[in-house]
Amino acid sequence: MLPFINVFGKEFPMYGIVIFIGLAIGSVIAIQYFSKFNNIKKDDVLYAILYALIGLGIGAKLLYFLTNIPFMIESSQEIGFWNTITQMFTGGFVFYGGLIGGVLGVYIYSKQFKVSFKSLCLTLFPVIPLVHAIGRIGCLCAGCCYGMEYNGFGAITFHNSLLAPNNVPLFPMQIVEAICNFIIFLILLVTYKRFLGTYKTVGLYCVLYGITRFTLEFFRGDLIRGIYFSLSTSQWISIVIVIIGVILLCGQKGHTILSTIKNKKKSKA
Amino acid sequence: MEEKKSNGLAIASLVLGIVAILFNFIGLGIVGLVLGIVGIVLGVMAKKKNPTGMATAGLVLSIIGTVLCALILIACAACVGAAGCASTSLY
Repeated sequence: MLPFINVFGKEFPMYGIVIFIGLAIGSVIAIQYFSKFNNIKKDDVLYAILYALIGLGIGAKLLYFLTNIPFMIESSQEIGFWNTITQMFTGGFVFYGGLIGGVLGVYIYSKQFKVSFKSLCLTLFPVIPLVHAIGRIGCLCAGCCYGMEYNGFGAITFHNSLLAPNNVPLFPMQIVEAICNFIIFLILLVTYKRFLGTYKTVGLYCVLYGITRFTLEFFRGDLIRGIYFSLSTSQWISIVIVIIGVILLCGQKGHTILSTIKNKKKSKA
Repeated sequence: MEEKKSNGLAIASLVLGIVAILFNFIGLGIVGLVLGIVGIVLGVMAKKKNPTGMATAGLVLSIIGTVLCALILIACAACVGAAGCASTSLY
């Protein structure tokens, strides 16, 4: 739609710019608004965000590599190993890999500087759907993450996209996912104070996004994705994420389950 | 001793941040990205141990370097897509 923007004669990718705008807005909201509910220093939130972003980049790229192993083997026979690696390195990202990597990044920060992991999670998780919603607008600009062929209400047609099929009416996947993410953000915002101090906000996000993503995957049109037992990689991860979300949402019961698992591991060690 | 160590971290972060920005301009975005990330980690460590102006400068420059390099790499993703790389997608 608008893959590049011209600034002083130099072309910048809209996808990256929109994502960084989303990250900036999300960071400001987390630091200024959500941090005050969790008794945590604003500096710590900022540094944890930086660690989360590093983890996010590594995780998203790693899962992209893992889901494309068959393609990599095939491609390395045709264009050589290093060309394939270079192509893959600049190729794409997987959101769920980024989510897992981001959480790991925050965990490493909390352990390294002895800051409460729970407080950091409760500060950062509510802004994830907002950042994701803005990021999907970036996808719309770049033409990636497009929907299946569709002729109904709201269909979008790309005419000079680098990634999506041109001149074919498509399901407005990016817009729908952006709206869904924004609604999830609003729900988390409204319920935030009610769930204060518990992992229920995290659980609610996992359940809502997991179900949304699982459903929307059926309408995706970008075909080269890992499919296992007729479900995509993201759908399998969605199932796991929803289960984790339900456990966390069960409140005290959920915590008991998690702490039982932890205690069992401790006693084994 | 602790102060000297954190000062070293701040200097390392500052240097890595500057080098990351320079690498971005000479077309070595991937190398710049890695250096920028290391610069951020060192900058955060320096700020936590001894929050001096140099540590702040190192952290800020490393963030700028990393963002610039990441922007260029994401641009490359779109270019690869244009070249017909079937696997190029952002999901």
